[in-house]
Amino acid sequence: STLPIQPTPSRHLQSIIKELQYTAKTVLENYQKEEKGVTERSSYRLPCLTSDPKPPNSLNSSAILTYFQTIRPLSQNQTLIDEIIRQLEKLCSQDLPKMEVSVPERSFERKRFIFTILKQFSNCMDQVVGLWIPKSS
Amino acid sequence: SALSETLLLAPESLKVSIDYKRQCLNLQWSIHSLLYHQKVRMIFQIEISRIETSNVVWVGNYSTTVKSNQVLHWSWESELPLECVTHFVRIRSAVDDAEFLESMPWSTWSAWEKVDVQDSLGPGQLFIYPQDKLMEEGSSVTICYISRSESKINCYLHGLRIHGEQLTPNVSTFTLRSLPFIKKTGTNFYCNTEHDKLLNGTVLYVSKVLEEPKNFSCETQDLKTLNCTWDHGHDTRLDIQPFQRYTLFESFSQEKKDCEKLNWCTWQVRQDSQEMYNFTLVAENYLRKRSVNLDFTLTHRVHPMSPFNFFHKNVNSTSAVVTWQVHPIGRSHTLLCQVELHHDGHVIQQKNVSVKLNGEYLISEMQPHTYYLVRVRCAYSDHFWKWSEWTDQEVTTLEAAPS
Repeated sequence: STLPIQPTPSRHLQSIIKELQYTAKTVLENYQKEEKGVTERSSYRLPCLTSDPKPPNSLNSSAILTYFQTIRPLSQNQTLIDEIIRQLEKLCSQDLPKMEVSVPERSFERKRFIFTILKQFSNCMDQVVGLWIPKSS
Repeated sequence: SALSETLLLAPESLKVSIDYKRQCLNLQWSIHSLLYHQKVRMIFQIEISRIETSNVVWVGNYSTTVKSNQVLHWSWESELPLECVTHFVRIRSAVDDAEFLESMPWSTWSAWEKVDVQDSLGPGQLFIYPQDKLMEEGSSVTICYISRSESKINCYLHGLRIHGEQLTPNVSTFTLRSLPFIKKTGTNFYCNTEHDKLLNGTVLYVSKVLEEPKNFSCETQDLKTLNCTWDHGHDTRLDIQPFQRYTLFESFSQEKKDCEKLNWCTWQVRQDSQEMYNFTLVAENYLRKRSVNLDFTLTHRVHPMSPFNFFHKNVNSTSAVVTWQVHPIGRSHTLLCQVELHHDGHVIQQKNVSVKLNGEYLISEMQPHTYYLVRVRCAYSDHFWKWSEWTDQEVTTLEAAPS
């Protein structure tokens, strides 16, 4: 799908996105090291961008936030997840309806779900950085 | 008697069900041919086969007293997950009653009861059992996979390749012995295709072994609240074993308290001046229960709070008066307080003073114009258990008057 043209976001917004990109990568690497054998399952989909071209609305942060609030109690490394939640909350518009995220019951499948969310979020942040942050800065 | 004609009392209506969580086959059957008033001691022989009836994996006897049409129950725990292969069960019986001298022949076998879950597995290429197994460090587990994939399959435990034993063309088992605790989120066992594509996995939750609480001790600061402490040893909590619970039982009062913390708990002393206490501290998680006992006399376990409002007055070149207060213990009890005078890191004077609420002591034979550290601590006079913590303060004597 063609990506919408993005107006350049503020410096503050750019620093939030860079922070999220870094933390997302760290959490993913930690989880991969910790949970040997767990791989992505493509049937789990984390929403990333919306149709609104204008940052921060072009990032589907409230949906992503719900996913992270769901996986938080399931993960060992809650400090970094809390950091991601804290940053996402800065990008969220409060009035959006809360969505439900269902988590697999069996542990191994639940770990695949968590890993997939972390992987897709990291990819999402790389994509958003590419969109929002001019190469020069 | 009537019984002799119907001595070959064969078991009937055999039903077999599966308890997946406990990995047990539950059997139930009856003896219909007994007359209603009769009670007979009988022995039942049970055979269990896997994959095909000829492959008997377990034979065992079960003795019990049987009444007519009584439904009998018995269960068998399998080390191999019951989902892995088809199981077959049959049973026969013999009268084993002292009333009949000669030994009674076995009845005929019941028909084989087949227990097969393979068709209820649902969609998927590979199934692994057990799922989410909770076990203690050092124990063993048998895992199996049931494959519908043509590919060669490689299985791993926490990244380490594991070789199994093929039971049938599409079922393999892996016996893992003496597993260590690795992490709270469990140890991953998973299987990939030969091209390393993940097919499925399970998580083995290996928990540390719950230990007996050590150094269990209780004391009070005020004869109102008991503070009990202990060393809990390993933390056995895991994702699927979220609690390691401690409960205090007191036998004289028959009261109990669920403790919120892993290694301490408070207990309110009842106002009926109960003197003797007999506590049982029970540690519990999903897999194990441990307990330790402690009995004591309340007034033999007083550990006073440290003295407060510790001041000095009337300081001159060779003496000073120190005053302090102590927290009341019970109605009217005396504390033994110890006053120490330190100079250059050495104790140069030490004195014991009996105190009810307010303490006072004149320190003499001090050097003029000298810095001292004075400290005080107290203990329960009726029965010494522990000193309180020290309370201290600095005192500098005045210069000597010119002679």
